[in-house]
Formats: sequence, C-alpha cells, structure tokens
Amino acid sequence: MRLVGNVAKACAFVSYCGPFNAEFRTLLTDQYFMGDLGARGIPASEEFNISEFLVDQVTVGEWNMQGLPADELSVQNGIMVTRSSRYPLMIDPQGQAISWIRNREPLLIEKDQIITLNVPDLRAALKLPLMEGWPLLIESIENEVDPMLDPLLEKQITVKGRNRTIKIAD
Amino acid sequence: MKFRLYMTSRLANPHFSPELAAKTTIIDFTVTQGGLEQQLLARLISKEQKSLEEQLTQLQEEVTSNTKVLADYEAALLDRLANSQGSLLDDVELIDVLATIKLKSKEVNEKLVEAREKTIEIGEKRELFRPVAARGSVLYFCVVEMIQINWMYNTSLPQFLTLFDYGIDKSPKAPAVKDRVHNIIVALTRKVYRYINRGLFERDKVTFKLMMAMRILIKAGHLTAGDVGVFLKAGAGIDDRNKKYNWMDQKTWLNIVALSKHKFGNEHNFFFKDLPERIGRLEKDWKKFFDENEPEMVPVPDYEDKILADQNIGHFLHLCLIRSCREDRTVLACTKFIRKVLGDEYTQPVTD
Repeated sequence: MRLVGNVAKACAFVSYCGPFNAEFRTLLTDQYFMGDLGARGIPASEEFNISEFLVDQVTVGEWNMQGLPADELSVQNGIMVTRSSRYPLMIDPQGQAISWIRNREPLLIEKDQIITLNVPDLRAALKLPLMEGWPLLIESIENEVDPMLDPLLEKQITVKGRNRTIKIAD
Repeated sequence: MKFRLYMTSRLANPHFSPELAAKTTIIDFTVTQGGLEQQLLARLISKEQKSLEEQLTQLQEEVTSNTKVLADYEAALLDRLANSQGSLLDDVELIDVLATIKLKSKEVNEKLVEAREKTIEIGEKRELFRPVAARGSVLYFCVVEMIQINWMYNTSLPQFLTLFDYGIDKSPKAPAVKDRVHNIIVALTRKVYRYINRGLFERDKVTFKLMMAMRILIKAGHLTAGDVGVFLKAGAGIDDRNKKYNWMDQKTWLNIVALSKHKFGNEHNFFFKDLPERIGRLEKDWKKFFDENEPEMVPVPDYEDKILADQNIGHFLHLCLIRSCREDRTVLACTKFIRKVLGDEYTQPVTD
C-alpha cells in the first residue's frame, strides 16, 4: 500500500509548500519529500498528483467560478486555503486571492467584514464575527501582525459546557 | 456557521517572523509567467471561442458525474453481494441487478472514453491560441519590472487585463486561426507599448522597449538570460592583461575577450570565438570600423555575412558587438535592435 507515503506527502505539501513558488514546490515534493520517504522506506506513488489527490474536479470548477484562476499553482493555493488547519495568510500583490475570497464568502461583503489591522478598535471588530460565526478578512497585512490576534491564530479555545470560548486581549 | 479568518498582504516580498509562519499558513498567490499564461489563455478562449470553453466545462462536469455514478453502482453491487442470503445462484433478483449494473457500467465507461477523447481534441484547439497568451504574459512581466526603475511605474494586473481585452477586441478578425493569432499579437503588443510608453520618462523609454524585445526573444527560445548578461556586463567581470592592439583601450579589449568567451543563444554557439585573433588579420578594416562616426550603420568587417545569416539572434549579436567596441553608440544600436525585432513603429517618435 502506497497510501501512507502519499498521505505523508500531501500533508507535508499543505503544511510547508505554501510560501514558495511553483518551481520550488515541485522540487520539494518530487525530490525532497520523495527522497525522504525513500530513505525511511515508506512506499509512495512515483506518479502522484497532489492536487488530484486532495481535491476533485467539481470543487476546482466551483473555485474557478468564484474567480480563482485555473492554473496549477492557483489550484494548489486553493487547496491550502481550504484544507489547512491554520488560518491562511496570503501573499497577494496582484489581488487575485482577495477577489476569489470575496466571491467565496458572500457574507464578507454582506456583513461588511473586510478590515485592516488599522481599524480603531480591533477587539470590537473581532468580537462580532467570532460570536456570529461569520468570515473575516484582514487586508493589507504588513510585515507584522498585531499580537492581539495571537490567541486567535493559535486557536486557544476553551470549551465550557456547550459553549466554545476564546479570550482575546482580556 | 463557523468562524473563518483570512488574511492577505499586498507586499510582493514580505518578511514574516518565524512565529507568524508557525501560526498561519503562508500562501504565495503571486502570479508567475507560466501561471499567467494559462489564465490569459482561458480568458482569450472564453472571448474568442466561447463554445470551446463551455464545452470543456460541460465535459468536466459530465466526467465527474459519470465517475460518481460508476462508484455508486459498484457500492450497490458490493452491498447486494454482502447481504444476499442463501446460494447466490438462486437469488434471481441479484442476478438481474448484476446484469443491469454490468450494462450500465459499460455505458458509463464508454462515455468516459468519449469524454477523454473530446478533452484532448478541445485541448489541441486551445493550444492554437497559446502564442497570444504567451506574448501577453511576457508583456505583463516587462511592464511590471519597470517598477524597479521607478516606483511611479506601478501597473496593476486588472489594468493590464483591460489592455489584453482591448488587444483581442480591436484586432482585425480573420477566418484562419493562425492569422487571427498573429493579428491579436500585433495589436496587443502595440497597445501595451503605446499605453505604457505614454507614462514613462523619456530616458526610460528605450529601456522599456529593449526589455520587451529581449524578453520576446527569450520567450521564443532564441536568447538566454546569459546572453542578456553578456550584453549588460561585457568585460566588466574579467581580467586580461594581454592586450594585442595598441590602438584599442583596455576596457574595449576586455569586452572583446568577454564576447569571445560567451556561448550565444540556445545552441551555445561560440559565435565570436576567434574575434581577438581575427581582428589582427584585418586590422586596418577593424580600426576604421572602430573610428567610424556611426559604426552601428556600417557593415562589420569579417563577420557581416555571418551575422546576417543568423536569423534568430543576428541583431542581438550585432548589438553586443557595437556595445563592446563602441560603448558610446550603445543606445543607438539598441534603437536599431528594437526596430529590427519589434518593427519600425516602435522607434518612431510618438506624440500621444
């Protein structure tokens, strides 16, 4: 069974390949990950398309309808945005990610949940979407992220009875 | 509903701290030349041959639903087999089901094969338009690179896409795909040039056109990045004290040595291999060439025929030679190079 190796490869891909460009992603998956699996004696498929493994054609079609470009790199990005357990931070100089996310999450515009880190009261801005379960898009992140977001990013959620609570900046 | 958080950064090359990288999934959405080419191709086809793109989407949907149906049948069959009681051969109902499933799965499989063939066919038709997408992508990256000269030269992707659409809409129609593709390429290149050129300082205009010409040749596979490097750096990186000719200054000599050591083009041809020696054989002619008022306009001694014979990069070789021998004439040689590669129109003064 090659499933173990394939799953390991797909996990490594989603976890580590995000920040890199298409060439380096291929290098990592085809040579580095493959070599590592080989060294540990874990069988994996030689011909293995990670995008096909993680997502089906219908979903990709849906993404494309929402405005995600159809090239391989963008499909990979789509997978990472939707499948990763950590929140996505997208490097998006051409605005392609934003236009996709805006179509994907109609609530963002309906409920006016697109903000920047410079809003006067970040805590208040976080409160409502967290309580209501809305999506939230923070635009124009510079090199730093407000430490107030840390508990959120780390998903420091406590479960009290049937409620799930998170503590943000006291 | 579940809370979802998305974060985006406009910076092209941000420096995130390792902590941040550990807490979030950083994803690079930056457009690449190949990726943009694919996107432009889809955009072009949806404008140019709408039915083709629709067919492709429809086919993909069919394939998915058929594959699903097939999987459902198989599951149903297994379920039946597992839950049948008594001898399998006595279960008439089961045998009937088996027969229908066999028929149906055969049908679905045929449809899948058909769809696969059609996808290939559509793919081939789409490929015919690829040159337009490739040119579009090359032009976009030329335009974007201008930021490195001056921050004011920022151009957004949507802005460029408008130009791309304009090139498709305003170019003459043609019955043959090949002619149509040519028409769009010409119109698109011209539109992008005029649009960007309008916003450039006079001193940066030649740079932009030169980049366009070189990038187009690189994309066509005639030039390599190394060739451009030799044109830019020439003899700056080498040291050679054995100057053979007294009338030549040291810098020019180094340039010539650099030329002789470089493999040009994709065929890795040592085009100017014997240049330092061959100058000696026709020293008088070469000296005259060096002292010429307009060296870029007169035939090159010895090498003229060979340069003319190289259809792909002949102009570039000439440009390199002028740049190495007479640095002061480089800009004029560039203009000549641009004219030869892109056309007369690109070097004439424009008023708009």
